[in-house]
Amino acid sequence: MRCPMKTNEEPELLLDYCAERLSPEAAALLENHLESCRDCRAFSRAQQSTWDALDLWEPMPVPVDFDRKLYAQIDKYEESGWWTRFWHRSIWPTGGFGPIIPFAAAGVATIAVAAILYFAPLVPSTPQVKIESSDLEQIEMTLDDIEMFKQLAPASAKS
Amino acid sequence: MTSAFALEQDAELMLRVRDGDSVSFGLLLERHRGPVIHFVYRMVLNRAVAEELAQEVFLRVYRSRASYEPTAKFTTWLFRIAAHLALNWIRDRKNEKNQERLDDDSQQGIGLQVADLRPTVEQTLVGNVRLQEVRRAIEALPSKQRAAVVMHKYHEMEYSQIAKILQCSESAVKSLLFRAYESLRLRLAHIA
Repeated sequence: MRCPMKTNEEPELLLDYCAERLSPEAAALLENHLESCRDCRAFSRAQQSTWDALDLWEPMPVPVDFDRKLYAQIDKYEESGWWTRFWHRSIWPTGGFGPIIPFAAAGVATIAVAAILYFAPLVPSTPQVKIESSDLEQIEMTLDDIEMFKQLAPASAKS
Repeated sequence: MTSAFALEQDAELMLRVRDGDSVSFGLLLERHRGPVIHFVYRMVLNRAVAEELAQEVFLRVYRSRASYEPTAKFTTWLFRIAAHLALNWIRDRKNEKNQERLDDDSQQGIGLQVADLRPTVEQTLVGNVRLQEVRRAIEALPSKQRAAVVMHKYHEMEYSQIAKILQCSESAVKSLLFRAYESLRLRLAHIA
């Protein structure tokens, strides 16, 4: 047998051996190897001690009113409206890990943004004001007219 | 973890639940209530939270009964929900700034957990210290490694089933377990 520690081939064999999950044949092969391999023997011994230490941790007792509380929640769920039931089923489907609605909403938003960017120009067009030379002359004339009216206005008021 | 017969029976019970049979739901609850509570408790290390999350697991099973399809083992599906809830809780807990120490709860639990092992006060004290060390060593593991160890050690699951529950490859599970047990060996060397 090739050394699982040195070759790194099936190193889980040592874990399985300590967990007593190897077949009798595989366990016998490994035990033969352990007799001659110091590294595997040290690993196996340390793993076995850890395995035994973990046995100290007994499970917590099942709460006495667990079922009563659960059925109360189920009743509450059954009495809730169709929208609540739909929401619960959609937001946390038990088949997968992620909520569907947030991802769906994000997908729709992405498509909407992409559509806007595709159909609308990237830089919004600003109205361009072209000032022709004739316009400038017209403005100057208007300003002159205003100035003239200002000068004439006090004179007409006095008369 | 369970025999092929039991697995078929679980799926069959769940299909009956899908058809509106509440008695079958009760049978599934009876069969899996303990393992789910124990798993969640060893993940979150808090009794009240474990109870709450375990109830949420069965509530989700009930809510999704209409869409249930026996594509995987029932226990794989069940533990996937449980692992998902527990890992999310741990993640959210980490993000909380003002988190209370879980040690308070652990102190409460120790007396009950080692009650059968204590013929003398001294042995009780030694047992409490060792148990506390084990809990701390497991608590110190990254959450996914913790989940892998709890399923492997306490629920005797195969690598393939753990991989399906954690949604990763079998080799990733082996790697997780190897690193986790390595950390545990180092942390528990002085008490082992």
